[in-house]
Amino acid sequence: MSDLSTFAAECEENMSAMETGLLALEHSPRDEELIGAVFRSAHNIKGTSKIMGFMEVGEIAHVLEEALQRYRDGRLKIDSGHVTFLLRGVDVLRERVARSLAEAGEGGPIEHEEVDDTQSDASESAAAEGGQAPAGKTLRVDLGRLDGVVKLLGEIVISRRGMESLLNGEDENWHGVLEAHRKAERLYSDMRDLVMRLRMVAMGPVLGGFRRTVRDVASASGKKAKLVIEGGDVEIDANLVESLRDPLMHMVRNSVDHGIEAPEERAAVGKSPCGKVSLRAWREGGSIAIEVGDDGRGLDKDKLVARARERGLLGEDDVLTDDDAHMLIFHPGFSTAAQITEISGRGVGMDVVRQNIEGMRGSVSISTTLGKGTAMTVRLPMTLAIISGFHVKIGAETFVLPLEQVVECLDAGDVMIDIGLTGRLVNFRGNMISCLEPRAIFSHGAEPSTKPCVVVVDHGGELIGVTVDKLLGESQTVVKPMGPMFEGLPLFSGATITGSGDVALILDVSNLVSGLTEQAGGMLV
Amino acid sequence: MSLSTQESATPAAGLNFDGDDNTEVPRYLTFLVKGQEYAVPLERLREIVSYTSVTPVPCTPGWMVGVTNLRGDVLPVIDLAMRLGGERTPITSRSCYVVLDVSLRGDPMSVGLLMDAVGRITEVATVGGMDYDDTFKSSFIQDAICLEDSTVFLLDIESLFSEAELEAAGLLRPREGVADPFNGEVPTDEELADGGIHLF
Repeated sequence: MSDLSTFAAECEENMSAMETGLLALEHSPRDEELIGAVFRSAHNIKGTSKIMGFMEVGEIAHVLEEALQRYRDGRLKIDSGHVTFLLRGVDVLRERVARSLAEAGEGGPIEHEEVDDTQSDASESAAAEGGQAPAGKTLRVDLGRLDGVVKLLGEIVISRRGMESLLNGEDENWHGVLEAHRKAERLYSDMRDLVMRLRMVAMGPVLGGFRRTVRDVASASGKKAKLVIEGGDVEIDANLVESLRDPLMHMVRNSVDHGIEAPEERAAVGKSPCGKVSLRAWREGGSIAIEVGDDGRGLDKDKLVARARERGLLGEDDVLTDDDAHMLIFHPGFSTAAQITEISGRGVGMDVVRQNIEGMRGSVSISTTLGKGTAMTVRLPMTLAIISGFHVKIGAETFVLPLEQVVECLDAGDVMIDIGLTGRLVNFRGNMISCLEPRAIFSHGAEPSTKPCVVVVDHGGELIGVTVDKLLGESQTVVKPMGPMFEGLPLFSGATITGSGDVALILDVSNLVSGLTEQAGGMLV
Repeated sequence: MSLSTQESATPAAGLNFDGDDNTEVPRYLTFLVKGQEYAVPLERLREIVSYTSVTPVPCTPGWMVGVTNLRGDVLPVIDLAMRLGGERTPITSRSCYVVLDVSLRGDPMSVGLLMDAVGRITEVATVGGMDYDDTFKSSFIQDAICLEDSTVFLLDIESLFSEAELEAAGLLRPREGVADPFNGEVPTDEELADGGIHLF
């Protein structure tokens, strides 16, 4: 079983390498190293599949290898048409690999319906024996990182021995025990960081996979487009990568299909005939942001509103801001059934994209300029199992703010200025920043503190003060999901169990700020 | 009042149990809420735990007491008395949580009901057929059963934790995209291709 999953992973790796290589060859057809690399990938697949006894896979790989040999010899010059043909060959190969794996009872990446079509009896019996169970998820980890964990584990063992001997000692050296405990604490914290980093993978390979998407969609719709990737080294939790793939795929397809204009149209307005789709990833406080941009025609507010009226989503008299109008594209009623199937083939519309992203407690926003292009930005919280939390008291309860978003803490008495009903301002290093009062919605009858404090948080680059009653300090916080019951509450990103065994809620700073701002009538920020 | 309940393990005469001797008579857990006895099917009961401190969750209805730590998991706790339209349940030394298995949009989850006290586990062969005062009628009461000399209300757990109820309470976001935007009329290609507009 593990042989099969290794085989599957190896094939996938080689096939991705072939795709990447072929796409690059389209732009630099004379690059012999690239041709060599693609050829070797095909050769590798041929070799391993023959060893594993997957002769059909081997045959296809062999045909591809033969074809590539001609370019390698210089007998043929590669061009766009050849690339399309060879990419199709890789698709055939991928299908055959999936089918072979399914036949071997591994399950593999093939869809279940397809399994049933091809070999219903065999798969049913395999399923009955539990052979159809999906293989456990695997993650490739840099050996250096793993070595770091092992080394640290050794240090923790030593520190535990040290602690034990101190505790066994004759004299009650509590100071020494505390010292040893603190040292151990640091080691545990390092360990936590290292282990969490094991789960992080670079976005690069995922983003790179969309080169093929851009090319396919562009050629299918008679357009020219290239994909530019930035921030491929930004790391993200391995679990999130998989959930992100589909929404991003749809957004990229969407950019090419609807954003980028036809080459003639582009030339007519003085743009380069080849459109540019960009994928940028970056870290933003405790979140990760991924932008899908294009230099196409942009969104036309008037047309969006007209269409929404036509569909009965808007009344004739409704007036929308530009942002609200742009967000219409995420409205379920806005998609059209015929378009959905044609574009994605998966029945995914932009409304589902938004739902998926929000399901990960993320958000998606649009910025667009008519005639210049559109950029959609997905922001996801890096909801990992453990975060550094800053614990505060608001009213009688303890709340946790993600430390990554906490900039500084101030004593409110010195810096707070009341500005009447609309709220308060805080003097933060000479700058006046607005200050939010979560007590207003978190009040449980407890008396306000006589010495409130202000926690300055980073809200997407903007500094905002949050008044709390007491600062409890920083500590490692294990994030527990709140469960489906609280799915509609945007203020909290999770909960944690405190040292005393109570539950403390983890605040979602962005949603808290926007929620409180809304409540204050938008007058604060 | 017509009695249609019994407490022995023997199935009631006249009931069809498909001839299977092992068929169990449905069992119920009863508990007291403000002096009134309620029952839930025993198969929905996960466990009963004694009261531990609850953290209130802001922006939730009053009957959502908050969340508590159940062996490291976050357990939502509901004040059943308030949910049924009464007042907040005071905490006493006998207060406890009845932890039930429920399903929310297909996701299994546990929910704690804050109780004055737990009553008994009892077998009830048949439910229904009882007349009860209209003032007790509520969408959360499935039926009434009679045990010995008292009337016990059978809770309708499904409606207590139904999507619509929780959406109305602001705990769940309404699911979008269910409504058909075209009222069954599929737009024509011409309509779809109306010049340059972004269709998604």
